[in-house]
Amino acid sequence: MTLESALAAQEQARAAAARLRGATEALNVLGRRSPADQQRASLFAVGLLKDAVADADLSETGLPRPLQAVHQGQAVHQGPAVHQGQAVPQGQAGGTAPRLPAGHPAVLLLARAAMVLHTAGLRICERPWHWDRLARFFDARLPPSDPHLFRLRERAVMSRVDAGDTSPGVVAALTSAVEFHRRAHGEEAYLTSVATTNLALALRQRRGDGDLAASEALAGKAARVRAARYGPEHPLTLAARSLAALCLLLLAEGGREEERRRVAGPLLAEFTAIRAARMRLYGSTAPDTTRSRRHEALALLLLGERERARQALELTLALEAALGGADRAEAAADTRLLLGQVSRALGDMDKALEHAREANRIYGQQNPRGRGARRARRLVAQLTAGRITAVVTAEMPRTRSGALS
Amino acid sequence: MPSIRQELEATRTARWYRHASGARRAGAWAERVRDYAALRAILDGRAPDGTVAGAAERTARRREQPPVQLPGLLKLVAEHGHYAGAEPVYRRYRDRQQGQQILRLAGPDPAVRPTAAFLAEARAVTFWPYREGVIEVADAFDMSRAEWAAAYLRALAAWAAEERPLAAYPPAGPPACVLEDMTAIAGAQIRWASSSSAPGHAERLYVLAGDVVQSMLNDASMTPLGAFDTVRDEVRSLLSPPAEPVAEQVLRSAAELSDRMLHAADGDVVVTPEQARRLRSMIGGLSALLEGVGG
Repeated sequence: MTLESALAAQEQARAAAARLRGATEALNVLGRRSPADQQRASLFAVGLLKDAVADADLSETGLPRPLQAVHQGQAVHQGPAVHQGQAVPQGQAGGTAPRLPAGHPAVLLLARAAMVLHTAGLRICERPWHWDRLARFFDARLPPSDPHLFRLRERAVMSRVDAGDTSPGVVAALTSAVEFHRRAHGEEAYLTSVATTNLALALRQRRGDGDLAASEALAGKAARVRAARYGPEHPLTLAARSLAALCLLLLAEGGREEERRRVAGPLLAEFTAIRAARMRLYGSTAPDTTRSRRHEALALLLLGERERARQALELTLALEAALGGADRAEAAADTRLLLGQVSRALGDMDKALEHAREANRIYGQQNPRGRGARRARRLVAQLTAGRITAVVTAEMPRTRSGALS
Repeated sequence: MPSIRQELEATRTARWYRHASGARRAGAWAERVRDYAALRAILDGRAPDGTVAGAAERTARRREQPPVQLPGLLKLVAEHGHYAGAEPVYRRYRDRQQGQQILRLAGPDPAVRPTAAFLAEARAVTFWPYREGVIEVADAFDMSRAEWAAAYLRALAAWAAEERPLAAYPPAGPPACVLEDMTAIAGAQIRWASSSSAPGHAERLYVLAGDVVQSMLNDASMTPLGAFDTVRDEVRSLLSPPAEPVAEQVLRSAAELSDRMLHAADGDVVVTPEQARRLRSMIGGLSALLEGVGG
């Protein structure tokens, strides 16, 4: 091979990878589309992968098989293989783009985007299996120190947290991720901040002794760093602000009445500010915006304004039901659970039981071993027990003294 | 009206790229590709003062990309590309282009020096495949203008992450073709923008593209999403219709949808069953709220 032809092949491989990166970023934008569009985008991404990658069985990735129609719609990336990232001659392929090794960063990032889109249509409890499978696929093809592989593993761990797994191994992995990014990029780097918030999310979820306070401290610190670097309304800052405020709210829920009253007003103001910013960023019906509405309702409950909280939750539920999707189904279950609790507090037991049962049903489908499912089962049990007592009370004959026989 | 894809395929840079990389000029194009590859190799190995970068310098770059400015850049490219001398390289990027199979992208303006013309071309050509990847997906999924801008700017951020020294070379920033592309994406014909405001929007989007690139250069751990998020709010406001009272928007949309459903031609699907389910759910919640409104 001449120097010129080697250089040309190398540049062609570079261009093929760059094209894949451009497509990947565009596919990532589709993560805010409807569930049906996300599934279509996921199949499209798998089609791109199939055409771009040399010598790999993509069925090992846990990604879906591309539909023939989707696959045929893509007329790019066909060509000879490039091994180990090195250039090879074009041979008879003349003019077509070369294929990339399966361990190429552009391939990993496209596969990751495809998995985000694909798992959006799966039950939350099924997702970790798919993410682990994808991580294993690249484990076999990349050195353990590869930064893209490390981030993929982080994503796989977070899918476990989403499914309610906050076991010591998961928390240890997230703690070591913070250290990894701190060493690699510095204390105030973007990925250090993302990893810190991931750890804070897991601690909030676990809620062991001191976890909420630790989570609030981490999220509060991340919020301050991000506000200084990216501004107070950067989406990442908002995520940290939201988490810190939620932890404060949960801490206050377990506190004294005067403490609850003291923090409820400022927390409501904070959640409202976050919702307003998210409306500007994503639109008024986006999932992030709707989640903030639920947080506003929680703050209203802390303030003792149950009726306003119920109205806010009814609106949240209507939006979540209108949007659909697995993530939103679980969000709707969270809202139903709260509505069940509020309805019970307002004395509407029928409504409370209806919401609790629906929450229980959705959690049962999406994530039966999660914290929400346990809480929904408990609420249903409490409400049903109350109902049986009421029925018994109404129907049992009384003694002359009025005591129950 | 042409689609965004058609508009992007008709920009000045798009026409130049098709012409330059066409099969009939394969030899001349290969020389240019060799120039860009040499530039990339030179920039990757240099410290900001032009000396060969040491270990400490490379470590620092993992966090922030300093600008690298090299005197005699085209001469270095010629040496690295193993040309007999610097003259063939200079000739490709001078304002006088007699005898050149591929005219320089910067055009004949003598104020644009050969080095600047070369750098502008290298930025555009290295970004081009990212742009093609965006076009393929965005067009297949019939993206809105705001989605097009998001996809494009995220791909631009991915380019800046991959080509950090080139993006940081003074004057640091995105390829010049981004302004043309933003003009197409902002769209002079959009119904809520007067023909005079769309160019202003395009210029502003170009400035925001510069911010996205700078975010990537300031922090090596920055992701395309994180960089785009720094400008998301403004991009959305530039490419979305101006705000009107929400109740008016709902009324207008409801009226439009009702009209279409009432007057749909045979076989037309105005609302899918899934959309109907979602609308019923939303309207139910809204009706409950409206009951509380007096009058």
